[in-house]
Amino acid sequence: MTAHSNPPPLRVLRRVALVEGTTLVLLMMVAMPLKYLAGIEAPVQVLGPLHGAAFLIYLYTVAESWGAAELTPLLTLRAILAAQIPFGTWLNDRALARQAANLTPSRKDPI
Amino acid sequence: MIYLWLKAAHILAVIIWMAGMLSAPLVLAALGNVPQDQRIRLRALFHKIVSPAMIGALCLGIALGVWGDWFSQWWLMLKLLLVIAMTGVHGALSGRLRRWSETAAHPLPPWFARAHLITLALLALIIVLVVRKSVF
Repeated sequence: MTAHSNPPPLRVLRRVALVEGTTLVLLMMVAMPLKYLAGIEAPVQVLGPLHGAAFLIYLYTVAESWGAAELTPLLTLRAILAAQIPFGTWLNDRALARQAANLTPSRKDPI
Repeated sequence: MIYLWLKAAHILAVIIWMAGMLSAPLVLAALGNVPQDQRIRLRALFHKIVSPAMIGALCLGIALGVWGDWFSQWWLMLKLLLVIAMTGVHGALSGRLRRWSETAAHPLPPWFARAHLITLALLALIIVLVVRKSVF
């Protein structure tokens, strides 16, 4: 492992955010209505744990990016809050993209 | 029988995870400004030992919860919140190690040297919850 093998700043977080957002939308918009309106529980039983895992990985990645000085405390808080609402992490992606663009030319230390 | 084996493996994984989490900030603060190749080696050690231990502890913990039907207990929900916080602390440490290993002269921020205190506080609360299965 070398220091140069790392991906560009925030790329991993943005991808994990996309997955987390997708599992939350599927859970809230598809699986839950199927459970409570049609009595079909299987999608919730599959998507529930899947979203739990995605959420944990997302929070880990947010903390990792903050620790690596790629996110300011405000962006970190915003990323955590975004994961609580459907479409939140998708909408937050523009802010992450802007931050990634700011970091790319010369790495700053927002902490 | 399988439950007890799972429990033993979970405890082992937690001990390794916590050993890494508690020692990493102290070791790095004591080392000071070391050459970059040593920084990269230290980060690799953290990723080869401590991160897999975290994944093992989490997976085995979930298996124990399912196997022992503990997920209906409120203390386990509280413990899960603390474990999520602990995972976040691990992420922050890991990220800071990455940054530290990438930049030759990058100093560690003051919070890093005290990160073990947060780990210790979370660990103490988790142990109380698991042993007493209650807060009071």
